[in-house]
Amino acid sequence: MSAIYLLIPLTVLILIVAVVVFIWAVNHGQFNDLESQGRSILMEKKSVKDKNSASETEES
Amino acid sequence: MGKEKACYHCGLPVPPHVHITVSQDDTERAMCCEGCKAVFLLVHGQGLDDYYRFRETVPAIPQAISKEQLASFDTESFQQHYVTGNGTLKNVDLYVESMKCSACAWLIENFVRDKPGVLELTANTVNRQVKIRWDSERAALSEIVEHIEKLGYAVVPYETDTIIHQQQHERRDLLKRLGIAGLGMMQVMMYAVALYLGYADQWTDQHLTFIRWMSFFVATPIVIYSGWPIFHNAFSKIRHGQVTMDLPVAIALIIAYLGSLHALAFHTGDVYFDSVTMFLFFLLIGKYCELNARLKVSESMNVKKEHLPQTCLVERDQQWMSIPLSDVGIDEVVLVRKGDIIPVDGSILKGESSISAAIMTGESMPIAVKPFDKVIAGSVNLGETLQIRSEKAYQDNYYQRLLSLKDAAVAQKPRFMKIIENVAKRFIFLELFLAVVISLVWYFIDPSHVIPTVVAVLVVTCPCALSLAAPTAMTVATGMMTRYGLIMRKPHVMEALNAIDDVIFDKTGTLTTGEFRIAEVACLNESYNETQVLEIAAALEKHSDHPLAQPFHTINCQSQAEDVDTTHNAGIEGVYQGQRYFIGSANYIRSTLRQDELYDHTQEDKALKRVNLATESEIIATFELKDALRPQVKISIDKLQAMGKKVHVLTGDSEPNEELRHWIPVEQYQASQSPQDKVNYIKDLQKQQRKVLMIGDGLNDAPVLSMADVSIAMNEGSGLSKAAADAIFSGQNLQQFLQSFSLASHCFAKIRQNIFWAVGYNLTMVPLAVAGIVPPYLAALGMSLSSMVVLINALTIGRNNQKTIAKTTLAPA
Repeated sequence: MSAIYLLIPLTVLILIVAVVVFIWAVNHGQFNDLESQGRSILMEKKSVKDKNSASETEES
Repeated sequence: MGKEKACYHCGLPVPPHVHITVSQDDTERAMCCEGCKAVFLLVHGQGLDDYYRFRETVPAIPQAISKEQLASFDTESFQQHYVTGNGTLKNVDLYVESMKCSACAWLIENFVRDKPGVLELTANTVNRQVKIRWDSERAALSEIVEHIEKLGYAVVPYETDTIIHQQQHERRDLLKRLGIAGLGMMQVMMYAVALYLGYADQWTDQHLTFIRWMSFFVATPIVIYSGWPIFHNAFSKIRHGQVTMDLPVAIALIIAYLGSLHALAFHTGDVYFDSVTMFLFFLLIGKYCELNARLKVSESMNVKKEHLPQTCLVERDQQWMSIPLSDVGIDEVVLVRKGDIIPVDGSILKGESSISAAIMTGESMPIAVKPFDKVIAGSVNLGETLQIRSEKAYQDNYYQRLLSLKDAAVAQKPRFMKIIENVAKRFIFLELFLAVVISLVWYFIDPSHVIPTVVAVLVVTCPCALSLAAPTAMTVATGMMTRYGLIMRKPHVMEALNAIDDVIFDKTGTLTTGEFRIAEVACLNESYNETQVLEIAAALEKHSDHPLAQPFHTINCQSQAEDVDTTHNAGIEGVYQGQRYFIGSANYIRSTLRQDELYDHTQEDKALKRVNLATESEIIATFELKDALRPQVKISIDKLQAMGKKVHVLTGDSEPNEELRHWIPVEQYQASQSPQDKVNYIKDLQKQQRKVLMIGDGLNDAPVLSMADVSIAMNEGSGLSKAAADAIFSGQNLQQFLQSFSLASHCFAKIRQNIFWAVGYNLTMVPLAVAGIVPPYLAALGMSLSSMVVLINALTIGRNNQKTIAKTTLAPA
């Protein structure tokens, strides 16, 4: 049972990592718009046909 | 949907003379104008067709992009104010008002992201903000902005007022405290599970004490950090003699925490660190929801950012100098060139021109001005250069007054929320009193039970669920409303919408779109066909900013008109493909051609405006421009009547609209109404104890809007009418707006259910807690669960409506 003396402090370390990651995420605006990202996986950019990509390269 | 074809891009009906189609995956799609077609081709050409599948709102009709406006993004003053970054890597925040749904954001991101020079681009639909990071050596900001505008979205710099800025900061801060409380709670709960299971196992006391100490170490920073707003709020208010809902909560938290610490140190009794953190977490969820609701309201009030120029040309020491607008004093002379925004309130000193005050007053027709005429800041000079003497200081001008009117509305709370708060406040006194009595009673029965019982009572009686009942439902409903295109500016709207008996519409700009479209083309000379006359007209009208010229701007023409001469507010002449043409009002043509026998029109419908096209000898065509009814006006009126609401139309026009007259009872259709008439009309209704909703747009509607029980202004409407209105409708389709009625009643049903549940829960649990049957952890669990029930119940608002939105907002395929 003495394993808990190692494992439980370890959970605290993991907790600290989670907290740091969370704070980073909040500070970088990851929670500003929770809806768009979820929906964006539904939308897909179709591969554009050759003639279009040709005109696009002309532009750039 | 209706028999009329709707434009695949913007959803508006396609005018009868227009036959533009595009093909998308072998399906023919109808377009209403070249502008829509151009946007569609761009989207389609990039393989971004999914936008049409997933969008939830229809876009605005694409407007012509103004080169001057684009160039303003590259000016020194713009770069100083809005652009950050060092070297060639620059950052800017832009505001895109019509970016309302995730599909819009996705479209902008995917279309612009791989354009040259763009390093990073994120679009946020919540505050309609687009953040761009770009390489200024490879692309000018105006080029990047042009890509967004090509898609039909108008772009302005992102500016926040201080209230929003503060609330955003507060939200971010609270989110951190909430998230950390959540993470910590999970951890402490895990230890708690070990503690509860531990008794069944062969764990020694040493193990259990170790776990208890660990939960203490995790809980302590959480209570201090995450609990700070609650403690701060509770105890700072007490100094001012105010009792808030946070007070009993704070006391319960402190007793439970210190009691547990005491028990831990002296090995007596149970520890409640798990209950403390869980309780804290759910309290913060409630606070976060409430803050979000407030932020949403203020963000939606950030609606249209009409902005004055940062600098202007002022005469000082007999020279024209460019100075910051805020430094312009009274009695200074300001120079305003063609196309510039007039920066001051004042009177004209020199020059004759026509100005458009559409942004400020909603008056769509340009006004001719001459020396000594008054002008207001925010108007646009359409004609010749003007010299204007400023008569008001920067902070007192009309424009600033509009802004402050707007700000005043932010802070209010709805009436029922105040009632709930009052109820909750009395609850708190009762609760504190109860806690003192109970602790005394239990002290004599069994001192070891004092702490757990008092904590349980404080937690159980906490009116948390009650205080969450309204804000959660309001947040969800406000969010849904925005999706229907209804932006709420004042908090009582939801409540009042629920009780409306009469709906009054203004006609122009409300039931109609307020934008002219070519309804009919009549060719009077056989040698010209419809396409030819449209082309000639378009080539000439390109040189005019007049609203009646706008519908021609989207028509393509092969060559340019030369030798163009415009007469303000009347007409244009020019040479197109070798032939001289005149286009304009009947009076203009009459005076230029010096001919009296003209195509005469006896039946003049006020909703129609006629533009004539003539050669030097005769009129060759007339164009009937019509301020078309919005899509689905009939269905909306029918539905409103079916809901038992009386529909009225008040209009300043003298001739009633033919179509509308069939749908609305005669006594409820009043033409030739002055603003005063409209106010009286509403007063009469209100005397009969009827609740009135007014929907309007123009400057003349402002007094009526403030008179009605609830008022809604159209987004295209004037600044002043928007400031006077309680909500702003920014959708194109009136049927969307109908959804808000069912949503409001749904929202209130949910609030009632929530209150019923919360009060019922508190009343049943109190006796159990007083009797000492409920241990603190169960009390916290129960409180949390009852809050969750309230929260989840609120989240179901608008569920049944979801499908209907999709149907009504999307352009029929």
